[in-house]
Amino acid sequence: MFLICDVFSQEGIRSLTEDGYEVVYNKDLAGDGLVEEVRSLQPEVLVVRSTKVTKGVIDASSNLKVIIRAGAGTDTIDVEYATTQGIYVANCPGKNATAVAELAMGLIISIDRRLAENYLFQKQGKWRKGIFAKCLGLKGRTLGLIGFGNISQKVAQRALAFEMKVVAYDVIQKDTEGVQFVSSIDEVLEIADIVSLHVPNLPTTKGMVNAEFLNKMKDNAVLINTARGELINEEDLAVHLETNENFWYGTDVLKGEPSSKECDWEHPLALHPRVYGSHHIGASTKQAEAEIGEEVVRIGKKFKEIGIIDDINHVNKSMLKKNYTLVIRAKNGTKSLADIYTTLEDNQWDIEKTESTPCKSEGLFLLKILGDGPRNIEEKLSSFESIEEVSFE
Amino acid sequence: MKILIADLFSPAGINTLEEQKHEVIYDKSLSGDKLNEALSTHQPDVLIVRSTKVPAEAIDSNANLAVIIRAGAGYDTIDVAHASTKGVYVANCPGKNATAVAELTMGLIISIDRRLGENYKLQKEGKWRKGMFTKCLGLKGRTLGLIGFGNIAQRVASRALAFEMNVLTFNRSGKTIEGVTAVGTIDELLTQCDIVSLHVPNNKDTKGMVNKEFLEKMKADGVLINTARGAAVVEEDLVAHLESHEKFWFGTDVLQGEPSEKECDWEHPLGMHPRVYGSHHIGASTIQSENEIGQEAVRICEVFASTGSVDNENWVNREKSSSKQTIVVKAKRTPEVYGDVFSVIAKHGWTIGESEALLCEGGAALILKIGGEGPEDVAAKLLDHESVLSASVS
Repeated sequence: MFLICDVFSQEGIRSLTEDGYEVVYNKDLAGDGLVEEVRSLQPEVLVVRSTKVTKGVIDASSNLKVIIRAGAGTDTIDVEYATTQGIYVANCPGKNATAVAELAMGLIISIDRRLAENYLFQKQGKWRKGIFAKCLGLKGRTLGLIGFGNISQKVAQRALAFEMKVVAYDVIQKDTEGVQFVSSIDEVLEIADIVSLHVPNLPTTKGMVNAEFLNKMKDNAVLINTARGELINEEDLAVHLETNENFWYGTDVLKGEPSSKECDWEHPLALHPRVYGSHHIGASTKQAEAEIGEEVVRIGKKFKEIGIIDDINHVNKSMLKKNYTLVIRAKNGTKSLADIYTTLEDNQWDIEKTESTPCKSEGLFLLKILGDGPRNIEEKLSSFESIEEVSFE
Repeated sequence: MKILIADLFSPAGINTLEEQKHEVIYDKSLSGDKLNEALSTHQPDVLIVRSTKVPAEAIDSNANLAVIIRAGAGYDTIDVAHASTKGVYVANCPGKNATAVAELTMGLIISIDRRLGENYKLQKEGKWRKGMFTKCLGLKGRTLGLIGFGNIAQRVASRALAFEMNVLTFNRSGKTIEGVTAVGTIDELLTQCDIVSLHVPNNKDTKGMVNKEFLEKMKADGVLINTARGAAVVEEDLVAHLESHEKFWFGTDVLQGEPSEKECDWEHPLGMHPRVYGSHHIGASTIQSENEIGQEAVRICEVFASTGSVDNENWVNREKSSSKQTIVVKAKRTPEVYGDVFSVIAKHGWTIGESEALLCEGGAALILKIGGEGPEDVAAKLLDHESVLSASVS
C-alpha cells in the first residue's frame, strides 16, 4: 500500500485507487508522527515531498520497498541508509521545473520593482510613490545562471522574452540559442546584474556562496536562490548585505526552515529589508502538483506491476545492486537461447554472469544467469515452449 | 530655447539638452500653484511633464509657451483642448514606456499567482505560513486575455507566451501577433480567460468599462489586472464583486483619486482589500524607460528647435480632419504677395485651414498651397493680382 505524507494531486490518488491500490493520504505527517504511522501501516511505497525520511522512518516499516520523492532533489531522504536496506529511492526530475522557474522570475521582477513593499505600504494605508523612482527595469540587463538544468533552462527562456541578456555556467556546456556559456562561475559573477542559483545541494556546492563569491559580484547586484538554503554561508551573506547597501537577495530557501506548515519563525535574512523571501513554495503550484502526481503514479504502478524503477527515476541505482540467480532448464538449440535473451532484454534485465551446462536428460541444458531485474521474469520465461523450467536459486 | 522640466527626468537627457545650448530649469517638485509660478517667472518655450497635471491656468501662466511635452504616452493629465485654443503644441512619447509597463504587468500577474506580497509581509512579521500557499495555480497552460493590443499589450503577449500561457486579445482592429488569438467580442475574452489585463487608453469609450456586467462575465476565480488607467474601472462595482466572489483577485497600478504628492497617508477601499495587489502608479518608473523617454523628449525638442514644429507621431493635438479643398498659387515673390493672397481668399468667403509656402531655387518664385473650403472661382480672383502667375483649386 501507498502512504502519501505531503500535499499531493487528488487526481493522482484517484488514479491509484481506481486501479485497486490501497492509498493512505495524510499531508500533515512528519517527524515522530510519521514514524508511528509508518510503523502502524507498514506501507510498501512511501511518497514524500518535503517531509524528511530518516533512518527512524525507514526502520519503522519492514515492508518498505520504494521511497518516491515527489520532486527532484533527494537531500531530505537518507538515501544511503535506504540503500543498505535494499530500498529503491526514486525521484521525478524536471516535473517541478516550470513552477520553480516561474517563482525565480517572480522574485526577480518583484525585487526589481519592489512589488512586495508596494503591497505592504498600500495595506498600511500609505502612499509612497517617491520611494520607487530608482527601479532599473529588466530589459537589457544581464542574468547569470549558475547551473543549467531543467529549471535554469526554463528561466533562461523566460528571461530572454524579457529581452535580458542571459549568460550561464554549468559543468556540462549545453548550446542553447540566445544563452552565452561562460567557462567559470567567476565570469558569471563579474558580468551579471542578477545571479540565480540552479544547482543541487552536494558536498561540492554546499556553502559555495560565501564572502569570496559575494565580493566578486557587482555592488548593486541581486542574488536569487530557489535551489537550496545549504548553498549559502548565511553569516557571510548577512555581512555582505550590511556592507553593500545596493545589494539585494531573493530566496525561496533559508536554513533551518520549520518542518511545520505554520508557526512563528524569525530568521535574520528573512527580516532584512533588502531580502525578498517566499516560504519554500518553489514547487507549490497545482500545475506542478498535477505533473508530479502523474509521474509518481506512473513510477508506483510500474514498480507494483513489473518491479522496475526506470533509470531516469532511480536515484540509488548504482548503489542498489541485487543479484539473483535465475535457473533455466531449456531445450537445446538456438531457439531457446533466442527466447531467453530476448525476453530478458524486453524486461530490462541486467546480466552479470552466465553459466551453461548440459543436463542429464537428453536434449536439455541448464542455464544459470546472475543478474538483476523484475522477479516476474519467471512466469514470462515459463510461457515459452522451448523452456521447460524456470526458478530462482 | 528655455526648457522647464517639472518631473523626474533622465539625467542623460538633461545633459544632452544643455550640450545643445538650451537653458534647462529642472524642478521635479513643481505642481499646482508652484508650477504656475514657475511658468510665469521663467516663461519657458517648452514644458516637459510626466505625471504633473497641466490645467488651463498653467497654460495661461505663460504666453511664450510653444510646446508641452508629455514624457509618457497618455495625456489625460493635460488640458489639451485649452492648449489647442492657444496654439500650443502638445507632444507625447508613445511606446517608450511600454516595456516598463509590460514588465510590471507580468510582475503583478506572477505576484498574485504565487501571493508573493503576502509571502514577504508574513516573513517580515516573523511568521512562517507555508501551509497558506498550497493552492497557487501556476501560469503555464493558463489563459491570459489582453484588452487592447498596442505597444504595451504586445510586449506583455510575448512575455506571457514565453511563460507557456495561452494568450487571447480583443481589440477594435483585430490586431494580433504569432501565437496570440484575436477574438471577435469582449465577451468571448471574458468568459474564456483566467487572467484579464487592460491595455486601453482613457477615453469616453473605455471610461468605466469594467463594471458589474463586465465582472460577472469573468470566471469566478478570475484575476483582473489594470496597468492602464483607474478611470476604466467602476470602483464600487469592483469592491462589490470582490466581496461576493471570494476567489477573485485584482492587481492594479492605478486607483482613482491617487495623491499628487510623492508621499502621504492614503487609504483606498481597493488598496486595503486582502485580494488586491497594488503598486503606487509605477508603471513607467524604471531607469530603462526613463532613458528611452528622455531620449525621445530630447529628440522632440531638437526637431522643434530646428523646424519650429512637432513630428506627426508625437503631435497629439494636431487638427485631424483634412481640408476639403486645396488652392495652389504660383506667384512672383514680393513682400506683399503673401498677405495679399490670403486676404483675397479670406475675403472671397473661404474658411482657411492648414497651408504651406514653398520657394524655388533663387527665391524669385513662390508656391503657396492653401487648404480650406470655399467657392472655386477664387482662382479667377487671385489671377487679377499682378504678382500671381497661376492659381487653381482642387
